[in-house]
Amino acid sequence: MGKDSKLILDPLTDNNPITIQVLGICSALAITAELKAAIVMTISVVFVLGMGNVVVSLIRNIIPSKIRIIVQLTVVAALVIIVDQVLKAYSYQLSKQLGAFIGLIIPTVLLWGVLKHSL
Amino acid sequence: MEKKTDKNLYTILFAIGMVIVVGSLLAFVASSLKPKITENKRIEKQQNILYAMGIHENDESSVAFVSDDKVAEEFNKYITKQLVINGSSAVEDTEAYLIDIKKEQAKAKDGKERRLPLFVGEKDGKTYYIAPIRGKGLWDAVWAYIAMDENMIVQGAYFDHQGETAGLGANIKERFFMDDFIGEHLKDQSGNFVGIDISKSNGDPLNSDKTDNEVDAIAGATITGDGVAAMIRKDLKLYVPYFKTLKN
Repeated sequence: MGKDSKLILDPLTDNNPITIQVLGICSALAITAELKAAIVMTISVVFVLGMGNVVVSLIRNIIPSKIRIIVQLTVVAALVIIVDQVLKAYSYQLSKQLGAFIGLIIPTVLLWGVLKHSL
Repeated sequence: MEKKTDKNLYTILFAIGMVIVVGSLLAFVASSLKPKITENKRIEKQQNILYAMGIHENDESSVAFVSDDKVAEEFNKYITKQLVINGSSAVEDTEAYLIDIKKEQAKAKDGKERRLPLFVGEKDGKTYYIAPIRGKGLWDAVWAYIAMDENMIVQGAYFDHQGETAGLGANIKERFFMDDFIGEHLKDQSGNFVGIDISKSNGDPLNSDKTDNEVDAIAGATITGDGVAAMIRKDLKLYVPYFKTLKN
Protein backbone atom coordinates (compact mmCIF):
# COMPACT_ATOMS: atom_id res chain seq x y z
CA MET A 1 0.00 0.00 0.00
CA GLY A 2 2.83 2.36 0.92
CA LYS A 3 4.51 2.00 -2.44
CA ASP A 4 1.28 2.60 -4.34
CA SER A 5 0.33 5.69 -2.40
CA LYS A 6 3.85 7.02 -2.95
CA LEU A 7 3.31 6.49 -6.69
CA ILE A 8 0.29 8.76 -6.67
CA LEU A 9 1.36 11.34 -4.08
CA ASP A 10 4.97 11.88 -5.13
CA PRO A 11 4.21 13.78 -8.38
CA LEU A 12 1.88 16.06 -6.44
CA THR A 13 4.28 17.01 -3.65
CA ASP A 14 7.86 15.74 -3.50
CA ASN A 15 8.40 15.26 -7.19
CA ASN A 16 6.01 17.78 -8.69
CA PRO A 17 6.96 18.21 -12.34
CA ILE A 18 6.15 21.89 -12.46
CA THR A 19 7.39 23.24 -9.16
CA ILE A 20 10.25 20.85 -8.34
CA GLN A 21 11.47 19.35 -11.59
CA VAL A 22 10.58 22.52 -13.53
CA LEU A 23 9.18 20.53 -16.44
CA GLY A 24 6.08 21.30 -18.45
CA ILE A 25 6.21 25.01 -17.64
CA CYS A 26 5.05 25.95 -21.13
CA SER A 27 1.78 24.14 -20.76
CA ALA A 28 1.28 25.31 -17.19
CA LEU A 29 1.81 28.97 -18.00
CA ALA A 30 -0.68 28.85 -20.86
CA ILE A 31 -3.61 28.10 -18.65
CA THR A 32 -3.31 30.06 -15.45
CA ALA A 33 -6.28 32.29 -16.23
CA GLU A 34 -9.22 30.03 -16.91
CA LEU A 35 -10.42 26.60 -15.75
CA LYS A 36 -11.90 25.55 -19.10
CA ALA A 37 -8.55 26.17 -20.81
CA ALA A 38 -6.78 24.24 -18.06
CA ILE A 39 -9.01 21.21 -18.52
CA VAL A 40 -8.55 21.18 -22.27
CA MET A 41 -4.78 21.60 -22.00
CA THR A 42 -4.66 18.78 -19.41
CA ILE A 43 -6.56 16.41 -21.66
CA SER A 44 -4.30 17.35 -24.58
CA VAL A 45 -1.05 16.76 -22.69
CA VAL A 46 -2.29 13.49 -21.16
CA PHE A 47 -3.48 12.30 -24.58
CA VAL A 48 -0.16 13.10 -26.26
CA LEU A 49 1.90 11.61 -23.42
CA GLY A 50 -0.26 8.50 -23.16
CA MET A 51 -0.76 7.76 -26.85
CA GLY A 52 2.85 8.70 -27.56
CA ASN A 53 4.08 6.15 -25.06
CA VAL A 54 1.68 3.48 -26.35
CA VAL A 55 2.74 3.93 -29.96
CA VAL A 56 6.46 4.04 -29.19
CA SER A 57 6.20 0.96 -26.98
CA LEU A 58 4.34 -0.93 -29.70
CA ILE A 59 6.97 -0.23 -32.33
CA ARG A 60 10.04 -0.22 -30.09
CA ASN A 61 11.35 -3.50 -31.45
CA ILE A 62 11.33 -2.32 -35.02
CA ILE A 63 12.70 1.20 -34.56
CA PRO A 64 16.23 1.47 -35.96
CA SER A 65 18.51 2.53 -33.12
CA LYS A 66 20.10 5.32 -35.15
CA ILE A 67 16.87 7.29 -35.52
CA ARG A 68 15.22 6.46 -32.21
CA ILE A 69 14.83 10.06 -31.03
CA ILE A 70 13.64 11.22 -34.46
CA VAL A 71 10.94 8.56 -34.50
CA GLN A 72 9.78 9.59 -31.03
CA LEU A 73 9.72 13.21 -32.17
CA THR A 74 7.66 12.32 -35.23
CA VAL A 75 5.14 10.36 -33.20
CA VAL A 76 4.73 13.16 -30.64
CA ALA A 77 4.55 15.87 -33.33
CA ALA A 78 1.91 13.95 -35.29
CA LEU A 79 -0.21 13.50 -32.16
CA VAL A 80 0.06 17.20 -31.32
CA ILE A 81 -1.01 18.17 -34.85
CA ILE A 82 -4.03 15.90 -34.50
CA VAL A 83 -4.90 17.50 -31.14
CA ASP A 84 -4.50 20.96 -32.69
CA GLN A 85 -6.79 20.19 -35.63
CA VAL A 86 -9.45 18.59 -33.42
CA LEU A 87 -9.33 21.62 -31.14
CA LYS A 88 -9.72 24.01 -34.07
CA ALA A 89 -12.70 22.03 -35.31
CA TYR A 90 -14.58 21.58 -32.05
CA SER A 91 -13.52 24.49 -29.87
CA TYR A 92 -12.30 27.27 -32.14
CA GLN A 93 -12.26 30.09 -29.59
CA LEU A 94 -10.32 27.97 -27.13
CA SER A 95 -7.81 26.94 -29.77
CA LYS A 96 -7.12 30.61 -30.46
CA GLN A 97 -6.67 31.23 -26.76
CA LEU A 98 -4.25 28.34 -26.28
CA GLY A 99 -2.60 29.23 -29.58
CA ALA A 100 1.09 28.45 -29.72
CA PHE A 101 1.04 26.58 -26.43
CA ILE A 102 -0.50 23.51 -28.04
CA GLY A 103 2.55 23.28 -30.28
CA LEU A 104 4.75 23.64 -27.22
CA ILE A 105 3.42 20.33 -25.93
CA ILE A 106 5.96 18.74 -28.28
CA PRO A 107 9.13 19.89 -26.49
CA THR A 108 7.42 19.45 -23.12
CA VAL A 109 6.56 15.81 -23.71
CA LEU A 110 9.88 15.11 -25.39
CA LEU A 111 11.84 16.49 -22.43
CA TRP A 112 9.84 14.30 -20.10
CA GLY A 113 10.45 11.25 -22.27
CA VAL A 114 14.16 11.87 -22.85
CA LEU A 115 14.84 12.52 -19.19
CA LYS A 116 13.14 9.26 -18.23
CA HIS A 117 15.46 7.43 -20.62
CA SER A 118 18.61 8.95 -19.26
CA LEU A 119 17.68 8.50 -15.59
CA MET B 1 26.33 -9.66 -34.65
CA GLU B 2 24.67 -6.62 -36.09
CA LYS B 3 20.97 -6.51 -35.27
CA LYS B 4 18.54 -6.41 -38.13
CA THR B 5 17.42 -3.00 -36.99
CA ASP B 6 20.91 -1.51 -37.17
CA LYS B 7 21.40 -1.98 -40.89
CA ASN B 8 21.40 1.20 -42.93
CA LEU B 9 19.00 -0.04 -45.58
CA TYR B 10 16.48 -0.98 -42.92
CA THR B 11 16.83 2.45 -41.34
CA ILE B 12 16.16 4.20 -44.63
CA LEU B 13 13.17 2.01 -45.47
CA PHE B 14 11.74 2.48 -41.99
CA ALA B 15 12.12 6.24 -42.27
CA ILE B 16 10.39 6.30 -45.65
CA GLY B 17 7.61 4.06 -44.37
CA MET B 18 7.12 6.20 -41.29
CA VAL B 19 6.90 9.39 -43.35
CA ILE B 20 4.29 7.83 -45.62
CA VAL B 21 2.20 6.52 -42.73
CA VAL B 22 2.33 9.72 -40.68
CA GLY B 23 1.79 11.90 -43.74
CA SER B 24 -1.29 9.97 -44.84
CA LEU B 25 -2.72 9.90 -41.35
CA LEU B 26 -2.35 13.66 -40.91
CA ALA B 27 -3.70 14.36 -44.40
CA PHE B 28 -6.74 12.23 -43.59
CA VAL B 29 -7.34 14.02 -40.28
CA ALA B 30 -6.90 17.43 -41.88
CA SER B 31 -9.27 16.76 -44.76
CA SER B 32 -12.00 15.27 -42.59
CA LEU B 33 -11.89 18.17 -40.14
CA LYS B 34 -11.54 20.87 -42.80
CA PRO B 35 -15.28 21.53 -43.33
CA LYS B 36 -15.80 22.14 -39.63
CA ILE B 37 -12.78 24.41 -39.37
CA THR B 38 -13.88 26.43 -42.39
CA GLU B 39 -17.32 26.77 -40.81
CA ASN B 40 -15.73 27.99 -37.57
CA LYS B 41 -13.76 30.63 -39.46
CA ARG B 42 -16.92 31.81 -41.23
CA ILE B 43 -18.76 32.07 -37.91
CA GLU B 44 -15.88 34.05 -36.44
CA LYS B 45 -15.93 36.55 -39.32
CA GLN B 46 -19.65 37.10 -38.87
CA GLN B 47 -19.24 37.51 -35.11
CA ASN B 48 -16.46 40.06 -35.61
CA ILE B 49 -18.46 42.10 -38.13
CA LEU B 50 -21.49 42.18 -35.84
CA TYR B 51 -19.27 43.06 -32.89
CA ALA B 52 -17.85 46.08 -34.71
CA MET B 53 -21.32 47.50 -35.23
CA GLY B 54 -22.25 46.93 -31.60
CA ILE B 55 -24.12 43.63 -31.77
CA HIS B 56 -22.63 41.52 -29.03
CA GLU B 57 -23.21 40.15 -25.56
CA ASN B 58 -20.58 42.16 -23.72
CA ASP B 59 -20.73 42.52 -20.00
CA GLU B 60 -18.84 45.20 -18.03
CA SER B 61 -15.32 44.49 -19.13
CA SER B 62 -14.96 41.47 -21.37
CA VAL B 63 -15.62 40.75 -25.00
CA ALA B 64 -18.48 38.36 -25.72
CA PHE B 65 -19.69 37.69 -29.22
CA VAL B 66 -23.13 36.67 -30.38
CA SER B 67 -23.26 32.93 -29.78
CA ASP B 68 -22.27 30.49 -32.53
CA ASP B 69 -25.73 29.09 -33.12
CA LYS B 70 -27.41 32.49 -33.35
CA VAL B 71 -24.80 34.29 -35.42
CA ALA B 72 -26.00 33.33 -38.92
CA GLU B 73 -29.51 34.56 -38.11
CA GLU B 74 -28.29 37.78 -36.49
CA PHE B 75 -25.95 38.42 -39.39
CA ASN B 76 -28.79 38.22 -41.90
CA LYS B 77 -30.95 40.35 -39.65
CA TYR B 78 -28.55 43.25 -39.13
CA ILE B 79 -26.37 43.25 -42.23
CA THR B 80 -28.63 44.52 -44.96
CA LYS B 81 -26.13 44.70 -47.80
CA GLN B 82 -22.72 43.31 -48.60
CA LEU B 83 -20.79 45.37 -51.13
CA VAL B 84 -17.57 45.08 -53.03
CA ILE B 85 -16.11 48.52 -53.64
CA ASN B 86 -14.25 49.48 -56.77
CA GLY B 87 -13.05 53.09 -56.65
CA SER B 88 -16.26 54.96 -55.96
CA SER B 89 -18.74 52.41 -57.21
CA ALA B 90 -20.09 49.38 -55.41
CA VAL B 91 -21.40 46.00 -56.45
CA GLU B 92 -23.56 43.81 -54.21
CA ASP B 93 -22.20 40.40 -53.32
CA THR B 94 -23.73 38.10 -50.72
CA GLU B 95 -20.44 36.27 -50.29
CA ALA B 96 -18.41 39.41 -49.73
CA TYR B 97 -17.67 38.46 -46.12
CA LEU B 98 -15.77 35.43 -47.37
CA ILE B 99 -13.27 37.59 -49.25
CA ASP B 100 -9.82 36.92 -47.87
CA ILE B 101 -8.19 40.30 -47.20
CA LYS B 102 -4.73 38.76 -47.03
CA LYS B 103 -5.12 37.37 -50.54
CA GLU B 104 -6.51 40.66 -51.82
CA GLN B 105 -3.53 42.56 -50.45
CA ALA B 106 -1.19 40.11 -52.15
CA LYS B 107 -3.09 40.68 -55.40
CA ALA B 108 -2.72 44.43 -55.05
CA LYS B 109 1.03 44.01 -54.58
CA ASP B 110 1.18 42.25 -57.92
CA GLY B 111 -0.55 45.21 -59.49
CA LYS B 112 -3.92 43.52 -59.88
CA GLU B 113 -7.29 44.92 -58.81
CA ARG B 114 -8.03 44.57 -55.13
CA ARG B 115 -11.60 43.81 -54.05
CA LEU B 116 -12.73 45.91 -51.09
CA PRO B 117 -15.60 44.40 -49.14
CA LEU B 118 -17.91 46.70 -47.21
CA PHE B 119 -20.79 45.56 -45.02
CA VAL B 120 -23.81 47.76 -44.53
CA GLY B 121 -25.66 47.17 -41.29
CA GLU B 122 -28.76 48.68 -39.76
CA LYS B 123 -29.52 48.96 -36.10
CA ASP B 124 -32.05 51.23 -34.36
CA GLY B 125 -32.49 53.28 -37.50
CA LYS B 126 -28.76 53.97 -37.86
CA THR B 127 -26.69 52.80 -40.79
CA TYR B 128 -23.26 51.31 -40.18
CA TYR B 129 -20.52 50.71 -42.75
CA ILE B 130 -18.10 48.02 -41.66
CA ALA B 131 -14.77 47.58 -43.41
CA PRO B 132 -12.29 44.74 -42.86
CA ILE B 133 -8.67 45.87 -42.78
CA ARG B 134 -5.35 44.12 -42.35
CA GLY B 135 -1.83 45.14 -41.40
CA LYS B 136 1.34 44.12 -39.62
CA GLY B 137 2.03 44.23 -35.89
CA LEU B 138 5.33 43.52 -34.20
CA TRP B 139 5.56 39.78 -34.81
CA ASP B 140 2.87 38.92 -37.31
CA ALA B 141 -0.39 40.08 -38.86
CA VAL B 142 -3.00 42.23 -37.18
CA TRP B 143 -6.45 42.80 -38.61
CA ALA B 144 -9.62 44.62 -37.71
CA TYR B 145 -13.24 45.37 -38.54
CA ILE B 146 -14.02 49.08 -38.30
CA ALA B 147 -17.65 50.25 -38.29
CA MET B 148 -18.26 53.80 -39.48
CA ASP B 149 -21.15 56.10 -40.23
CA GLU B 150 -21.38 57.98 -43.53
CA ASN B 151 -19.06 60.72 -42.19
CA MET B 152 -16.38 58.14 -41.48
CA ILE B 153 -16.78 58.52 -37.73
CA VAL B 154 -15.93 55.24 -36.01
CA GLN B 155 -18.97 53.55 -34.44
CA GLY B 156 -17.15 50.49 -33.20
CA ALA B 157 -14.03 48.45 -33.78
CA TYR B 158 -12.79 44.92 -33.35
CA PHE B 159 -9.07 44.15 -33.47
CA ASP B 160 -7.33 40.80 -33.64
CA HIS B 161 -3.82 39.52 -34.20
CA GLN B 162 -1.85 36.45 -35.15
CA GLY B 163 0.91 36.46 -32.59
CA GLU B 164 1.40 39.68 -30.67
CA THR B 165 2.86 39.47 -27.18
CA ALA B 166 0.38 38.42 -24.50
CA GLY B 167 -0.26 41.27 -22.09
CA LEU B 168 1.24 43.86 -24.42
CA GLY B 169 0.42 43.91 -28.12
CA ALA B 170 -2.28 41.32 -27.59
CA ASN B 171 -4.19 43.90 -25.56
CA ILE B 172 -5.49 45.46 -28.76
CA LYS B 173 -8.28 42.93 -28.33
CA GLU B 174 -9.15 44.25 -24.90
CA ARG B 175 -12.22 46.38 -24.24
CA PHE B 176 -10.20 49.31 -22.92
CA PHE B 177 -8.44 49.71 -26.26
CA MET B 178 -11.27 48.87 -28.64
CA ASP B 179 -13.84 50.97 -26.77
CA ASP B 180 -11.56 54.02 -27.11
CA PHE B 181 -12.26 54.07 -30.83
CA ILE B 182 -15.99 54.59 -30.52
CA GLY B 183 -16.84 58.08 -31.72
CA GLU B 184 -13.36 58.89 -33.01
CA HIS B 185 -13.16 60.85 -36.25
CA LEU B 186 -11.16 59.49 -39.16
CA LYS B 187 -11.22 62.82 -40.96
CA ASP B 188 -9.70 66.05 -39.74
CA GLN B 189 -11.60 69.30 -39.18
CA SER B 190 -11.35 70.24 -42.85
CA GLY B 191 -12.81 66.94 -44.00
CA ASN B 192 -9.61 65.29 -45.22
CA PHE B 193 -9.02 61.65 -44.36
CA VAL B 194 -6.14 61.34 -41.87
CA GLY B 195 -6.84 58.11 -39.99
CA ILE B 196 -6.29 57.65 -36.25
CA ASP B 197 -2.94 57.86 -34.50
CA ILE B 198 -2.11 55.50 -31.65
CA SER B 199 -0.34 58.09 -29.58
CA LYS B 200 1.73 58.24 -26.42
CA SER B 201 1.29 61.99 -26.22
CA ASN B 202 -2.47 62.09 -26.50
CA GLY B 203 -2.84 64.12 -23.31
CA ASP B 204 -6.48 63.11 -23.12
CA PRO B 205 -6.76 60.44 -20.44
CA LEU B 206 -10.54 60.11 -20.60
CA ASN B 207 -10.46 60.12 -24.41
CA SER B 208 -13.11 62.84 -24.38
CA ASP B 209 -11.76 64.60 -27.47
CA LYS B 210 -13.10 62.59 -30.37
CA THR B 211 -11.96 64.96 -33.10
CA ASP B 212 -8.25 64.82 -32.34
CA ASN B 213 -7.70 61.75 -34.56
CA GLU B 214 -5.78 60.19 -31.66
CA VAL B 215 -6.26 57.29 -29.29
CA ASP B 216 -4.10 56.35 -26.29
CA ALA B 217 -1.30 53.90 -27.01
CA ILE B 218 -0.76 50.74 -24.95
CA ALA B 219 2.34 50.89 -22.73
CA GLY B 220 4.90 48.37 -23.94
CA ALA B 221 3.13 47.85 -27.27
CA THR B 222 4.53 50.67 -29.36
CA ILE B 223 5.20 48.76 -32.55
CA THR B 224 1.87 46.95 -32.41
CA GLY B 225 0.15 50.31 -31.93
CA ASP B 226 2.06 51.83 -34.84
CA GLY B 227 1.06 48.85 -36.95
CA VAL B 228 -2.59 49.36 -36.05
CA ALA B 229 -2.44 53.07 -36.94
CA ALA B 230 -0.71 52.33 -40.25
CA MET B 231 -3.27 49.64 -41.05
CA ILE B 232 -6.17 52.02 -40.39
CA ARG B 233 -4.62 54.77 -42.49
CA LYS B 234 -3.60 52.61 -45.42
CA ASP B 235 -6.63 50.37 -45.78
CA LEU B 236 -9.47 52.74 -44.86
CA LYS B 237 -8.09 55.36 -47.23
CA LEU B 238 -9.13 53.06 -50.07
CA TYR B 239 -12.77 53.48 -49.04
CA VAL B 240 -12.72 57.31 -49.09
CA PRO B 241 -13.91 57.66 -52.72
CA TYR B 242 -16.96 55.51 -51.94
CA PHE B 243 -17.81 57.46 -48.81
CA LYS B 244 -17.63 60.69 -50.83
CA THR B 245 -20.47 59.36 -53.00
CA LEU B 246 -22.56 58.70 -49.90
CA LYS B 247 -22.58 62.38 -48.97
CA ASN B 248 -24.34 63.28 -52.20
